[in-house]
Amino acid sequence: MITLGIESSCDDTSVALVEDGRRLRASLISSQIEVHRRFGGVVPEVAARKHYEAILPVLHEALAAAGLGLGDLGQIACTVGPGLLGPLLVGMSTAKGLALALDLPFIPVHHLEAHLGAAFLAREQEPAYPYVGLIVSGGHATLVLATGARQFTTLGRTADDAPGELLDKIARHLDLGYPGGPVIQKKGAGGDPARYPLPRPLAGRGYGFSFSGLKTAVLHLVRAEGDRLVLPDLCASLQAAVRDTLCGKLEAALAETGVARAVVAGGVAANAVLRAGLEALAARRGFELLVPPIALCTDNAAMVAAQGFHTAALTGLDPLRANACADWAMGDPFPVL
Amino acid sequence: MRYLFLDASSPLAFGQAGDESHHQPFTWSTQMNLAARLTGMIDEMQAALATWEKIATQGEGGGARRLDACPVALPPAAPPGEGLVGPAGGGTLGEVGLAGGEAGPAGGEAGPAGDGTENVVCPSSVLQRDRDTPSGPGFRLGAGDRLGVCTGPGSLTGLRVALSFFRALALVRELPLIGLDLFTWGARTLETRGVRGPVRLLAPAFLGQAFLVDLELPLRTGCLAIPDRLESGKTGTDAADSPRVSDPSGSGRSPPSAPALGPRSGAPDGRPTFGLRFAAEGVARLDPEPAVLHDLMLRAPAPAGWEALLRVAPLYVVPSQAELKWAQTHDHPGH
Repeated sequence: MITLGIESSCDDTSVALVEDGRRLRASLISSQIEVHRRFGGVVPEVAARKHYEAILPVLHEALAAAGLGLGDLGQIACTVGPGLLGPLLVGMSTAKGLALALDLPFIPVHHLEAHLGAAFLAREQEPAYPYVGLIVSGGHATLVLATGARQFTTLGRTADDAPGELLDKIARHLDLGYPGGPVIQKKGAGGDPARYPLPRPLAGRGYGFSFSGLKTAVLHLVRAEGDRLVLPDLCASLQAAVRDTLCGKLEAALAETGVARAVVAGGVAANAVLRAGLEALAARRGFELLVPPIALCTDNAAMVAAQGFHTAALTGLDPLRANACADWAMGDPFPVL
Repeated sequence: MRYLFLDASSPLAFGQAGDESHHQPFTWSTQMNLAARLTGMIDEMQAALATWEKIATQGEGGGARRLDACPVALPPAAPPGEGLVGPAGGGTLGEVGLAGGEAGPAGGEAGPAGDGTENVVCPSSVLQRDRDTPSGPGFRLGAGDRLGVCTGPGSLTGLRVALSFFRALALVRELPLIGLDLFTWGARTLETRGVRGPVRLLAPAFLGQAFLVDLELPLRTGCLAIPDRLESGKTGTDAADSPRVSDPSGSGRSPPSAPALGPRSGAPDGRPTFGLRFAAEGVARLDPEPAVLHDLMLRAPAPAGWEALLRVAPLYVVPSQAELKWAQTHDHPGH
């Protein structure tokens, strides 16, 4: 069965076609990074306008890339939350229209659950449970215990900034560009991660995250160092602080739950320093680590299509009544009226 | 030809279903849940279409003729030949069939029962009955039918939800999608009332302001949209690619102004000013009429196909607040 996936929760308009939840037939992304660069972050109204412009052309291109037509589709899956409401509504309304006109099932998909599922899609395998999941992106830092399809226990989440947001803000403060993650990784290559001793927020204190303190520490450091600041060393130190914080929480969760599998996903999971740290941790602690390839770490519709396939039976009654929701909790029934 | 139209430019969404002989307006209060109710709205409007088809079929079989319009409420029972046909003796109305036109069957023309009761119908009661027993989900328009959607101005979120949904329907079923802005609908309504010459139309905007456009009536034949002022290059939508049809009069009259943001007050040059669905000092209320929409939906040019579909877009009168602030900062760095 071919599942059409649509993703528009933030600044990427993406359409993908996945066969039987595992085989990627096509995945296209129209990025708005250049549009939002001048604002230093995503502007929801601008993003929604761009999604409207892009979504049908991206759909057209994705179908062409897969060599498929609308008549080949078996179901329509779409992110309905969490995310930016205006952008979500464009994708969801398009998906509902397609589903209704094609008389196909519509499957509301949770964005973060789809991120975790991307790790299994990358291996072309069914999701396996249990696992400890860590989602790190520009909007999220969430640690969960997954025990089945759409069955999650939230262990912790950020109380303020998400790690991607942290990197964006610091990059903007240093006038390095947008988005912050890739540019800080690039600037930090070859830098000394031990030069600037930055805090590891909430280390050893539960599963919650807080990155605003780290941000403040960096800003104070930048002001204190002035012209003496060594940018590569700062970028390396910052990434090390983020890596240590995330790896520490993940390690503690695995130890306490006794689970031997970890999935790390989201845009920040594309960071090379974090990936290296996770691999070292997995080797040291002996757990199975699944991290999607970089192309599936950032927002994409392939993960939405795959997640839709694996959760189609769990949507309940009349998913066409689903509403978009900016803060839909993982595992909860889809939001309605 | 059948059509469905949706205007989600305000939280009170407006829909209309129609065919060659009927049209039925709908309204829904859709605070924050428009996207969740879209398919229900479609179902309701399609129920009207299905009912008219049923009436037409049964009417042909039963010797009844068709109504040209659907009364909201059935008038009191009247003798055969005077208005809608009522049941003999003022009893319960017949359930199926349709009396003819403005007047009932001439000379007491009756249905199969011969007593004037069988062909009597209250369309609203039939609609209600069909809603109580829905004919099932799905989208039933096909070849030869049309879709229409309001392009604004108004709630940007509402407009994008309706437009996205209807574009997808049109794409799959290869239906023409007519993008109609409120200004054109209002202008066409004024034309039917005999208004000619320069006018100003206002549509509600945020913070007590109004989107406004200056026009000269009548509009050019076939004109379906007022030219708009898109923020070229700022959100990727280039005015040069705009689907909106310009309205040069060709007779020396001033062309319509580009929509802009302004006060909710009368035009300073004294031209008659009309508020779309609102009134204010110096501004007469104008409610775009369903009958005008019906005529536009049936007779307006409606190009189909991929390119035409991509051109149906929300009417963005002003850039986003973020873009305005950014422009202010960069035009006046010290600001």
